Amino acid sequence: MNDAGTAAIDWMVRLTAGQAVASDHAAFGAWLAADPAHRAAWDRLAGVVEAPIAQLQAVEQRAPGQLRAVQRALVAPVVLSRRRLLGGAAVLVVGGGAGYLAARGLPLAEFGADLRTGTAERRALELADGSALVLNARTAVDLDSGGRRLLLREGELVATVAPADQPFAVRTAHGVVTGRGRLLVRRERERSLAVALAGELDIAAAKQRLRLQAGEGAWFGQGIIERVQAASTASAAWVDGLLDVQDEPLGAVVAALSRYRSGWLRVSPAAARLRVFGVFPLDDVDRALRALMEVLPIRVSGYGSWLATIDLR
Amino acid sequence: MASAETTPQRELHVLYSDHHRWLHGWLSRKLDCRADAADLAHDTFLRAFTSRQLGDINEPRAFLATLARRVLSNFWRRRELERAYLEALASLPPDCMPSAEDQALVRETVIALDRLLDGLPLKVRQAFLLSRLEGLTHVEIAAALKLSVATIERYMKQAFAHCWRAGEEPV
Repeated sequence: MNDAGTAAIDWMVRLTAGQAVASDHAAFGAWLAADPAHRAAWDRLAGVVEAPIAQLQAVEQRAPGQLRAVQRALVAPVVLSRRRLLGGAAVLVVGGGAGYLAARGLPLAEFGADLRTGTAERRALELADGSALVLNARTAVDLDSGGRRLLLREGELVATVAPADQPFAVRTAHGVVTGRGRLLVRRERERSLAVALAGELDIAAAKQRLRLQAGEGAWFGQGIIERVQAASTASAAWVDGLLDVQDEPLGAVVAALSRYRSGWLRVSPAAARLRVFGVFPLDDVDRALRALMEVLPIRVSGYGSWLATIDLR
Repeated sequence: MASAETTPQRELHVLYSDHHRWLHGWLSRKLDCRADAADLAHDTFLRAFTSRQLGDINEPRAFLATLARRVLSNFWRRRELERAYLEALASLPPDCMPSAEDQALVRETVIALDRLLDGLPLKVRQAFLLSRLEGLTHVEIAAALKLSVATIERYMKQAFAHCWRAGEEPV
């Protein structure tokens, strides 16, 4: 390797360390300009390193989470076992798959979120201020050191707020929920939900504010805050492992169930519109699906395998 | 009578007709899927064709088996990567699922990155990915992997040097 190559590598280490300041960038610019061989070396190195990353970042814009998924795929243990590849296609054994995700507790997956639950994993914990938190499956939360301000990155939580002077706040990408008593916050892709389970709460989103009393709920996001029609205390039933549905579309039910199922549970747009009433077990998704099949005109294909699809019958 | 002129094509033809069925059977036993075995047998013969003077081979089946093992290893590695990616996908919220085209793009990138990083120790690979994929600083990576910042810098240097060797000479 020539000197320009060595220098290019050193520069790349320095500039990606996370501590580069203006003088570093100026010195880099000077190095680049000093000799065409420097530029050529830099282009060669950057070309190899950055091209695949740039492609992934474009996809990440459209579907967040891909960078994390790629990283996990690339550090997963290599298993060259014949048994896992029987049948040719990449099929997960359902039980083993869920165990792999939840039990392994990939330490790297924790990074970037202070608290993260896996598939089919609920977690209850106490915050520094004495507030109690319950996290639904596939939830990621950041905490500040005092524990009174949370960032809900994905998923769903119920907080029982300890009384204190400082307000208790849960922020999502769509707004901020502050309250006392007991509250639920769920973050979905396009909007978030807040429900006052006990006591009042305030929603601040896109220059609007709304106060909810106990038993009331509202969606917020995209510049809108919209009250939920039906009584919403049922929405916290997942804390006890139940999905309590009172006139919701099947699409929403499937979204809730897929947090508890390793693999991919899809629903056709037509089936997703069906209205659902009932109580379903979250810790036994197969049983929940069977119960749904009994009361709705649907069929489930790929039932029990990694990819299951729900369609109108 | 003119001596039979051996060209690479002719040598390959002989190799193929003598040993193709055997190789297909050998691969089938390792794969449980005859269509895959046919594809991989084809890849193996391609490698044989581009590898060396085919007329020099004393033990054609041993030669083919060596090539086939490499082809198999790549095949399993690729399948394992795809499986790991799908598994990681499954842990995402259902409304973050990428389109089929995007999934294909990502899958190809995973395989390309794996090929690029092949040969690096696991910890170096982890550090590199945390830096380039997740944008973590060296301090953050050191905390995540429970290593010193100096070690992370050393790993990054090692990884970039590895990438340099994978890069093309500039025109």
